[in-house]
Amino acid sequence: MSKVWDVIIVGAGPAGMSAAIETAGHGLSTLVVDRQTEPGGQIYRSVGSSPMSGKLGSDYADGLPLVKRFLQCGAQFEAGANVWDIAPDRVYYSQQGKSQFVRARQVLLATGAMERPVPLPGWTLPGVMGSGASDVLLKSAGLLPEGPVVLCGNGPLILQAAVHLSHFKVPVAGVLLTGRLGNAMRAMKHASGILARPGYFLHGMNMAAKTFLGQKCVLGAQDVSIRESGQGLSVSFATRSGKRKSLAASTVLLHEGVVSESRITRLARLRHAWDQTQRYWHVDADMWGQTSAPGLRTAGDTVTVRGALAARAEGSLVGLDICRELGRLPLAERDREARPFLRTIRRCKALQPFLDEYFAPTPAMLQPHPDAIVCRCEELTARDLSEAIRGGCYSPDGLKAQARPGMGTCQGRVCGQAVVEMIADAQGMPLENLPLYTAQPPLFPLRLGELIEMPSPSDLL
Amino acid sequence: MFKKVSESKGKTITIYFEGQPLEVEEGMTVAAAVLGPSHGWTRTSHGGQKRGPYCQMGVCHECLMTIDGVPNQQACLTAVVEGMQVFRQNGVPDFHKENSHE
Ligand code: FES
Repeated sequence: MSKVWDVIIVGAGPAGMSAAIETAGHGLSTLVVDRQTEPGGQIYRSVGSSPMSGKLGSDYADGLPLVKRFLQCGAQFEAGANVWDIAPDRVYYSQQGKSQFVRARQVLLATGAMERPVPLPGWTLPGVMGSGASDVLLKSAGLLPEGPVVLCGNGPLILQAAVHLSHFKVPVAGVLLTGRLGNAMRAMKHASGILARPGYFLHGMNMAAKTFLGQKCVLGAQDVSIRESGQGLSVSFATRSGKRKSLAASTVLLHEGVVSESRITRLARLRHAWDQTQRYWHVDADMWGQTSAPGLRTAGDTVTVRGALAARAEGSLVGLDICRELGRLPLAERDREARPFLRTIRRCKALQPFLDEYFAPTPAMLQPHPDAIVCRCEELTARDLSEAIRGGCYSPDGLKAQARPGMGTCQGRVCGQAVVEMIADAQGMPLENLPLYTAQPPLFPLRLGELIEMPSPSDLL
Repeated sequence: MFKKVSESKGKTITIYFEGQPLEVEEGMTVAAAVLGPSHGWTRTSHGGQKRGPYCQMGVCHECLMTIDGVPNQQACLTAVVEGMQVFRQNGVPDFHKENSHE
């Protein structure tokens, strides 16, 4: 019979690492798997080895002590381990072309978030990528686009990208901000939350000021499309007054906010909830990470996107409660140790409604132009999908069966959100009645041979 | 289209992109390593469109390449290794072709 770990944690980002520090620190055998080559997740990507550490500000540098503590906490860490199926007591993963399954008494899913993919014409062209992707290249490899760059989107990370680019003197042809102007007004009703994290708020204002003063910004840009032109790209957009303009670029970075990566939690058939302001599906869990399935927990941006500080505190809380559940911490001890983390979470939660409203996605941006490729894998445009939807599709799974979006190698990670928005709009359905595609194992394409060679789980038969 | 802003302390190794030797730093992902020489495209879609890494974090599968003879590898999740042979991948991912490893 194979070893049974006390805890398996999927994801070595801020939440996963923090949880492991608690569980391993309290003597629980802990295995952490992550598909990247190093711990850190995306926000602290490669911070342990980065050529840029110390050059990207404290938001990034704060990750280094965490990564160091994690690597010394006694948890076993498996890098390049890509999880493809999950059950309450077991995790299947592929590493270097070989699959295996591992068992645990408690499983924590801390797989974080991804940039919301928002299809627009030309977004599949080489030279166009997520602004988070460019950030990853900077952190992990010290690479920056040569410019001219056009940044386009909405969210705090677009401001951060603008600040990074100008700091390293990359020419920026323009920053197209696609947020609605009314958002600031709507956010003001949550303004009291600012008091909970004044430093963070000022940091944001400072980034915004630097962006507005240092770059050519277009507020309320809409109807954006990209095409090849000569050696580079041309980005065309409409201003608020409806005038069409265009900018030449060699790299275009897109960003429309960050949403939970819910494929793994949907695969586990956990209960999910719809976030109406930020418009995304996420797993439903209490503050100790308990989901609708006993033994399966979750933490960090997988549950609600609140950023690294909250994710660290949430991971710690979940780690502590796992220690309680497995008999390492009496309830009173858990509560005592939880106190500082609860305070942090309270502060993050207080500011979040302001941020969510301020950076709420613009509904018109989420309805793709007919020419936009929505499903990149199967090369299906919004026009192709609209036809099938009008023909009588009322769910992403139905549309998948009809028109094949989500059938390619990414298995609907990229087109899922857009398809939900399109069906809701065309059929007048409330979004909370439109779950994303049903997730099936394996979560990514595997060689059949790899499945056959997998050590057989004979003790399960 | 991307340039280095900071030299890392890592040691340099050689990989091969489309048969051409490429000096890269240890610890990089394949997707980052071939960004320049590939001009941003690392595969074609089944309709023949040029595509390249979009998310750099394992989500979009636009970075599928043939690495050391094994097709459909996510270049953004694969670290470079001395002597690695990296090729663009064209058309529909072929999951029937058994790889030629070992
Ligand atoms: S670039 Fe998106 S999966 Fe590799």
